[in-house]
Amino acid sequence: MNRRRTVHIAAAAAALSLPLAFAVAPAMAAEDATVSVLHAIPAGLGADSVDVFAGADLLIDNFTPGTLETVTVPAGSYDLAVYADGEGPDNGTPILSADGVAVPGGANATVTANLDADGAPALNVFVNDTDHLDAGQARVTVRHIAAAPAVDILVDGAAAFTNLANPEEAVTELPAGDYEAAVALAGTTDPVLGPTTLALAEGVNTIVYAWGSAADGTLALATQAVEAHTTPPVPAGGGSTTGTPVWAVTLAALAAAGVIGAGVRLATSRR
Amino acid sequence: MKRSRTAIIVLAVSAVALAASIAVINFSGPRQVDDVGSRDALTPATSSSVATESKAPASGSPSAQPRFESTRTDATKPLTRVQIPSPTRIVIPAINVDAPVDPIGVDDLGRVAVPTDVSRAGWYKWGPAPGNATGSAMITAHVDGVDQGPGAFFNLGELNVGDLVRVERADSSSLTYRVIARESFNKKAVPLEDVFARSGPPRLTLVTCGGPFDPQTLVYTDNIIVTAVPE
Repeated sequence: MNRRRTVHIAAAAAALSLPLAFAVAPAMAAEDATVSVLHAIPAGLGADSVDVFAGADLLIDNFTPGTLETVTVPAGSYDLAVYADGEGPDNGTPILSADGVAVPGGANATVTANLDADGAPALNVFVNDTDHLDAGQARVTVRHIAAAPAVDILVDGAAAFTNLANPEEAVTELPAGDYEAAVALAGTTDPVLGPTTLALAEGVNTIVYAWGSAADGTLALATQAVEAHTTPPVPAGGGSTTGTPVWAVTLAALAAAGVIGAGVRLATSRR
Repeated sequence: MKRSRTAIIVLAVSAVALAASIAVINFSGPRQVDDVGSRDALTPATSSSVATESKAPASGSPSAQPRFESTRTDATKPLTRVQIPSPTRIVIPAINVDAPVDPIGVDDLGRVAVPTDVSRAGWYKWGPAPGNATGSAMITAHVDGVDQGPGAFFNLGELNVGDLVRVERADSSSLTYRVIARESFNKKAVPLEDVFARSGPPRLTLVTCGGPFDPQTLVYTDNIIVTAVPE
């Protein structure tokens, strides 16, 4: 059930041609796509307030660490760039950029501005899984975007995902409900983050990010909720199909009263 | 000779027993009800999916404002579900209903796990709760049980437009709804998207069985759907 993907990474600093193909839900014919951007570069590293551009257009203004902004954009190919606040393509050099990010209609993706395993700024693009969930089920995605070694994700005390490295993600489905989640260095069970209660809502892909820097003591969790496709259950309800049907009860009662004792004898004699 | 006579007796007795039991099962005959009222007022206005055309930026230079619709959240705060008190009891004076309500989910086959005790109703806990700002809170109960007799929603088909439904909640508060529609659908034609809607105007949807009873499968062929809106 668990799936793991190694993510397409964009590079830091220099613009990089990056033809990213997002997964598209086949039934979606809408022209728009949903793109979220997570600012996951800790404060004090030169990106405390940034502007995010898509080509010449300002996508997100005055973006600060730990915030998530979700933008509805027309399908298309975008050159994404992150500038210090107040700067832009006309008058600045991007802190981070990724060119040619393909965003098909109906896609749902998250772009993270974060630290790579060694602590350098990086852009990552993740496709958010909105595939169908059965009634009562929830999806959880964990993404390692922290300057930290590989980790294990503990759910209710047991390792649910092991050896997850920056910038990998892992996805699974669970019955909706509350879980205790923690992050430990790979192969250990002593949490470096958490444990914290994770409320997994039915029909939702709950995405948990481990971000920050282990060396700087800024490791933290961030969360994002993305609605998945669901179908309603069948209502049923009526004419209880559980229990013993009335006719059986009636026959038993009649038999007990001796009314159909002959039937019992017949059955016996036939043997 | 003797055997065949006994067999005839057995058959006759069985037939009597079966007839008696069918009479018991169909204590009210087919539960066919007519539709009254309308849910039309609840149909959400069709929102155009073609948003954000607009605001072409001045050529060559970035616009001063972000171009696209967006929402910003603090991702460092844990996701919390809006806590709404669970319904604990449903009271419908017009049809003498006063039944406890249990939170219910789905069974192994993906069907709503209606309480097997027909005297109890179930609130579909994966959908909106009564009192939620949007969507349909769904409460269901068996109309009857083959071995239990009439259920909590036995007379749901007799509810009329304007009747009041009270939902008592875990925090001792209660909500009152007014019936706007009562409809009957073949189980294969139930408007599931409406019954389980998470969006749109807030309403209470009551569901039970109705229509002809199929003695083969021991189920009714229809669902009776009552829609009520906050009073």
